[in-house]
Amino acid sequence: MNAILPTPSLSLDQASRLAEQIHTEIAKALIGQQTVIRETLIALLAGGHVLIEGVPGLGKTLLVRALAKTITGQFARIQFTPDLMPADISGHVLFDMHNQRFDVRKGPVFTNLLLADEINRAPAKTQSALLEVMQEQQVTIEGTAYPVPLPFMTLATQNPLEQEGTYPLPEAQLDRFLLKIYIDYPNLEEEIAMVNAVTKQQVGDRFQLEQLKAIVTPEAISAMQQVTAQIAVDHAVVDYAARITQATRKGQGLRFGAGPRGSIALVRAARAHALLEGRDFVHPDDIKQVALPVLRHRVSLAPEMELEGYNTDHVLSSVLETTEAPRQ
Amino acid sequence: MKLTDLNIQVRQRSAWEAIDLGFAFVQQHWKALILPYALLMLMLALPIWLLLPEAYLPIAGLVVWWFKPLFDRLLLYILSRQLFNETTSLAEAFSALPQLIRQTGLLSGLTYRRFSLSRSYVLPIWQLEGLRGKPLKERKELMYLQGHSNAIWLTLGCIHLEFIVVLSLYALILMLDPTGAAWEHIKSLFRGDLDIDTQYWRMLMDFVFYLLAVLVLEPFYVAAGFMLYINRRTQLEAWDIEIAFRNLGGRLNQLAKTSSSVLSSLLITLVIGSLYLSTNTPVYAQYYESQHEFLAEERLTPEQAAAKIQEVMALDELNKRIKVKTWVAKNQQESKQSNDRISDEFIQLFASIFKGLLWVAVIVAVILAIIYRQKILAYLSPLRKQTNIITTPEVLFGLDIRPESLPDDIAGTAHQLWQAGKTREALSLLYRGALVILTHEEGLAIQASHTEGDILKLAKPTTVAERYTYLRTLTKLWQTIAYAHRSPSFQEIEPLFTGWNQFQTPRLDANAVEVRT
Repeated sequence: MNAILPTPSLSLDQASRLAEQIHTEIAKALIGQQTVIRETLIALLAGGHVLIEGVPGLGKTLLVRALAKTITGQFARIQFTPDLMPADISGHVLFDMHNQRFDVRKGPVFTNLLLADEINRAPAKTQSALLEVMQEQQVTIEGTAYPVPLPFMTLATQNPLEQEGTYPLPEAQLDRFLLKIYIDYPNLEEEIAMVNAVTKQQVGDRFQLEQLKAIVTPEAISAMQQVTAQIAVDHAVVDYAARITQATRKGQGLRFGAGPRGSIALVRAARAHALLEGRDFVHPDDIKQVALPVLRHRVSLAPEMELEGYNTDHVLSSVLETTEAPRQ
Repeated sequence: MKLTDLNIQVRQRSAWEAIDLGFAFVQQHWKALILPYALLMLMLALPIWLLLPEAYLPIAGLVVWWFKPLFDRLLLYILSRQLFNETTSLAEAFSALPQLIRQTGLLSGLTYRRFSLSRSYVLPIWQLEGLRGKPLKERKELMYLQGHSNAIWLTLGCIHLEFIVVLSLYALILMLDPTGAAWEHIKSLFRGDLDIDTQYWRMLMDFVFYLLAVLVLEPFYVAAGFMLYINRRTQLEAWDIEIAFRNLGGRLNQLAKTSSSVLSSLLITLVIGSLYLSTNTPVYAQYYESQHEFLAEERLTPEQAAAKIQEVMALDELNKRIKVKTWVAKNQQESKQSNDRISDEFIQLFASIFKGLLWVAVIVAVILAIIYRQKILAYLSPLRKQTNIITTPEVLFGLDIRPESLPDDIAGTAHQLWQAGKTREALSLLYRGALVILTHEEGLAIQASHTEGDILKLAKPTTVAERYTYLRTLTKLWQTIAYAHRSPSFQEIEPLFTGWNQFQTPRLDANAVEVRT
């Protein structure tokens, strides 16, 4: 098992530099989505999972494949469809007639990076099978628990359009994702650069991922996560994170706010943000920088705000504007 | 009062059908309505006309219009009783009047709810259900889900009908008035040049016409709103189904009672039937008799009849010739000019009408602006926010940033604190000083929610490069000691002490230096 392999110890600078290299490498494939790449790396360093939302054709799958390419680990992809069953994800037991015994066939979740494409196309039963793995980092097949290889990260995608016949993730399950990342259209220069990169002396319309180099091993990722976990967080910063989360529960325009898991996620993501900046401590700006992707899927917009054309980011921004910064 | 006593056929109707039912209901029960209603109107209109000073007589109609909710209450009281086959006498109607004035929200109906366009639809909730406060609000919300827009259209339609009735009465006078005074009066209404001599009588005519219009239309308006209300209740509470079940239950009970005496009843029916058939003329025979041609007793021969016709045709009345003399204009040009003059008058009249309509539109716009003031203010709020004067905060991050709270020599004091081992206090003092300069000199709008990073972002576009570099270094060291509890080395902090004087140099000077160079 990868989990019991000795992990190399890294210094903060080394971990930060490695993260920077991964960022640079992914940016070669996913042109112009700097924030998206940064937020994905935050989730990776914090040991969390991400839900990526965007219209088709913006490179959601490319992002995950590029990330997998930079890590010399296993990568699997599940295309969620309405007829997908939980056993198709987790695996199942099969009776081997030849050897007269039961064999365990492990599902695609036994990987380091898992791309759950269009997660809202499968029914709740199948979604919850995946979300259980994300939470427990192990799969139970016929009463036996099988841990998934570490580091384990799920990158689920969903399409905000074509909501007919989809199964929106329940709020309780959305909470399992550390971040919800919006991926938007690139601007003109970025799109031109993208067209040049994809059409340069090649057949087809896919980016040649062979150009990307592997930067780190799964063990190094685990070590980077260890370094991230050791970044200092002052009491005032924790207090700030908790106050923001509390404010979402009282804020106008929201049907309900984030739970305590929101505060925890804020601090975890802020640590990863600090590491990306090469700092060994977290300050309030880190919290503020990660607040929107951390909280946007943990709150629910009031119907009247939705009708008036507001989204959760608008309301959360106003919550941040009204929450006092830490007092030192 | 029981649902089975209702004297209308209760069934699911469209809102327009319900309004139509209200009109039909008034036509059927107008006798019960007209006397108390007309008397009440007279009791109000007569004192208004007599007590108002002559200069204010033109607004007499407006005062009557304003008191329409009072008439509505009396009408609804009578209509609601008629609905259950209870006829209301004049005495009963007037004895109920004090209660109607006190307990049906008349005060609000005459003040802030006077301009409600769904008055007749909501009135039964106030008057018949007697709801107030939250239950009233909830009830209204439920009722408004359907039928509210129809009630508004009903009000608008009735307003127009009132105008039509008044104009029709004027038209009637025009037809019957050979002097042309009525036409002059109508024109002068729009021109605003009323003849002083006949002004009083003309105003009286306007007032009476308006009273007649209200007298005719208000019962229809109230009844239509009431039937809309009844229809909505029928939808919500399934009155039609309840009545159907009650009738069914009654019929079944009746059948159960009569089953025992069926045989005897049948026998009696047979006997009576046979007697009836034997004693009465068949129906078709009566029909045949009624179709018989009527003939006069005196019959003339064709020759006699022709002579009679000739005799009648020779009468003077049938052969009279009359000569009529009339004036015809000799000069056609003059006649044409006269026509042009009339058309000018018409143009002037129409201009006056449109002017009047424009004024009505302005009044309606003002009323709508008052009703929707919340939404309009909400639209304007972003503009107001922009024009807010930025007030300089006195405390930020728990630090007192009033200029008077700082020592004169900030860098020197901070250095002394550093030497005394109070690194945090030294950096706090420098950061506090920097914030004072940013807020008071640079005019940065720093809020309580701004973090150190936010302040740097705010300062970047407005601050000169040297000052920004100093601020960035200071912020970094401040964050390190505040959130990592790590003291900077002397090499790191020393440039802050030495660079303070340059940092606090007023920005204008710095710009001036740049210009000179």
